[in-house]
Amino acid sequence: MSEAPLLEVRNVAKAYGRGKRRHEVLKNINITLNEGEVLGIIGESGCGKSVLLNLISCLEPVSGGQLFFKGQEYTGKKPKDVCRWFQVIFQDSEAAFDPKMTIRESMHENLKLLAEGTKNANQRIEDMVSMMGLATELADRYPRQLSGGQVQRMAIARGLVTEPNMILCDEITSALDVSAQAMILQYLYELRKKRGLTMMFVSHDMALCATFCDRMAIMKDGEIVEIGTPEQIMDHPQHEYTKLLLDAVLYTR
Amino acid sequence: MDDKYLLEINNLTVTYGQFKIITEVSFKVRPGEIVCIAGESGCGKSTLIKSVLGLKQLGAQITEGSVILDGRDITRLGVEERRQILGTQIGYVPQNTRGSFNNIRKYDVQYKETMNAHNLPFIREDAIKLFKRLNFPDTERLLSYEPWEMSGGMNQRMAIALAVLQGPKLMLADEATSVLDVTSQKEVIEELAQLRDELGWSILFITHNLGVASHIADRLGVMYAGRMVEYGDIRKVLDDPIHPYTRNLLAAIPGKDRKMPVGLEGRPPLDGAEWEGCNFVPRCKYACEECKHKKYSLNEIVPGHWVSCAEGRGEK
Amino acid sequence: MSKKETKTLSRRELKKRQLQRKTLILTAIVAVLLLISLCAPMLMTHDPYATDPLAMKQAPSAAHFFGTDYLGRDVFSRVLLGARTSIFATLLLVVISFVIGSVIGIICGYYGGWVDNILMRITDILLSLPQLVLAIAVAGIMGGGLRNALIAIGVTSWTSYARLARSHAMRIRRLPYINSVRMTGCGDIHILWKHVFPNLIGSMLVNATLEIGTTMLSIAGLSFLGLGVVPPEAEWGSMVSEGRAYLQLAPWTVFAPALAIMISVMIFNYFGESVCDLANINEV
Repeated sequence: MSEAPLLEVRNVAKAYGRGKRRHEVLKNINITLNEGEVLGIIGESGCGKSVLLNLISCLEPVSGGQLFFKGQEYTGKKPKDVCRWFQVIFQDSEAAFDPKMTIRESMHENLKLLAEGTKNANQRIEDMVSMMGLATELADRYPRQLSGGQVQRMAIARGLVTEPNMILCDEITSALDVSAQAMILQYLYELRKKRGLTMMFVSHDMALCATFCDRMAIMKDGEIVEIGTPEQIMDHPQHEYTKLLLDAVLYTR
Repeated sequence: MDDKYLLEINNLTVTYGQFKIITEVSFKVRPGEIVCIAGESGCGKSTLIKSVLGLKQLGAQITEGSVILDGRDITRLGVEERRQILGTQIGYVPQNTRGSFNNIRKYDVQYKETMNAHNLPFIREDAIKLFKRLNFPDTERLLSYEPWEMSGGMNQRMAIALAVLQGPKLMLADEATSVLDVTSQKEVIEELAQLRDELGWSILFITHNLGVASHIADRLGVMYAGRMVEYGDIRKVLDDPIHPYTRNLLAAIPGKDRKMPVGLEGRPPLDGAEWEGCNFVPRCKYACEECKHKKYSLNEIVPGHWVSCAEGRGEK
Repeated sequence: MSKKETKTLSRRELKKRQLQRKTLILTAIVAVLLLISLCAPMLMTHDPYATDPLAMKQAPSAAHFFGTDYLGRDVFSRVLLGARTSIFATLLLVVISFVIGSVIGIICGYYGGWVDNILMRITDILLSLPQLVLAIAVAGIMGGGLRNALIAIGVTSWTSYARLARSHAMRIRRLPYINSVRMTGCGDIHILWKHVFPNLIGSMLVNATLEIGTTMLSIAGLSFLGLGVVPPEAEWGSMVSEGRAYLQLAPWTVFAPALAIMISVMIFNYFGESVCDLANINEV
């Protein structure tokens, strides 16, 4: 038998409210993700793609279904149990850093609570920061003192400093200018080559996902309507909604 | 016909306090033409649109150059005079779709108020006719809804329809589609293009999304740190970008070929509009000592295509 | 260039400097006030408790700056000594209700659910009772004395801090950074202490400085009604109450402590307001 996938999401559902006010955000989600794979999740606002990341990272409990990490079930665990496996990177990364702490202090928090020793903490932080192409002295600034692109790269560095098995990216480039966005993609691409990073990449931008994802999943109203390689999705879309989305992508030429 | 322009912006310099935020920007908009001004955040493109709408509230002012609307200089109009031309001569679609209407009042009340404020009658049937023409859903009852019941995209389309009813000749759109989902974004820009075709509108469209520009614009201007670095016919600029910055910008956009986009390190200088020479120097791979002192000027390199620098043209 | 820059300071920047100066001056005044009340025994000209049958109800003079009361006690010395009671009792009460209110509010706001429901219903009940009436009732049951007066006011005064802390904690709980901190595996107590608390303490302190004036008035009010400080002890509210009977004969016995209350409440209110403005302008 082949090795179990890194992440398996089986029949996961999420609903808010009770009784008449019950509102289903996610229905019957099934995803498997192998080590080293990058999965893009594409959908418009309100389709539940961010909620899905929160469920996988245990920030919110699931309403139904099961979650597996390397074949072992972890449904119902707490963030502190899974934070060695997953790290989440959010869209608004300035708000994802405590405004009263420098970037370095925030990163220390991650290391302190995750790694066995904090001996080389500063070294590890600086290595990670420079791997994201930033000057190490920027780590001693407060989040508001950096530009959007810089903070976002710091957020990725923070996510990776504890060397999780997988990072979950929630619209990490949508608040940025295109040149900053492209820089982030380049660094993520480098990291993939160097470390075989596994990623889930939530975005509303199909063209962007198609450039570096191994597979893409299209979500609509809490369900995955189509999943496939970029070639399948971009060149031979099956579902009506995929075609609609594809039609709305505006290329420059 | 060719020398008749609806909007002329001549050598415009805008300052905030003593700091320049836009320097020597010039371009012209013909009747029935869609001009897109693109650039990244902080390049001064929003200020540019506000210099047509009125800068007083921003605390900024036009120190050089002029804004000419339909032959009339509106550079230094007072608040009251400017209010007269807003709506009836210049329509405006803001970025924030939720901000353009009061969320809890019916559309018809708000339509009526706006129309009456410009001494125009509000005729329900006209509005419904317009909705039908624009393929709005549920046209008959649309006016009795309140904005909070609608999606952001629908709200934006209602804002555009309201602008249409006032019958301006020039439409200003400030990032009008950037908070919308991709499918509603496409609807909105198709609508704007349709209105241009039917009504002969001119549209000045500000966006950071070159894909949007590519689909509706006739002419494209690229701004960087307060200066216009490239301007010309849309296909010429997008198919054969000349300025190093434009080429970088286009390389950063994911294309049909699914190649990894190429980024650009650094960010625009905050005081870029103050610089005498080229302000792209710190990020430009062709930069030399000379570039820092060379006086900025926009030159017509190809007919209908102006660029401030042609270094490394044609290279990938 | 530098000259040009100072000229081009934005209006906001100028306003900020103005406010900073104003706050600094007010802080100095508050410091002086605190210093006076601390050093009251050294500044007193007479023993504030010594009665003098030969100098009853004397008008202000060089010997008695604020005159004497119906027992011949020196009003100036009593006002000075009263400052200590009034101001320190006020500050003590503000600090205690601030701490209790903040802790309860943060816990309610962060956890929500039934904890929040129960505690907030209690504050609702306390807020719906007229504060002074409740204080009178509590003081009436427990008897007079400064400590009981403080408890009587404290029963309700923590609620406003709790409300504010709760709303801030609820806002902060939803910020993305709390989620990223949770993903570092921190426990709730760590998050509350290290990440929620430091981000709301600023506005809570501002609120506390704004409350000093009101609290001072409440204490003086209770004492005036005879439910606070017991008479021979010097306190502004009870001094006004004592002097009231002789208002026509010796108005200074009322005016001096009344003026002291008014001035210090005003100083603390101005101080709170400018701290509040400064905090707002810094936040933008």
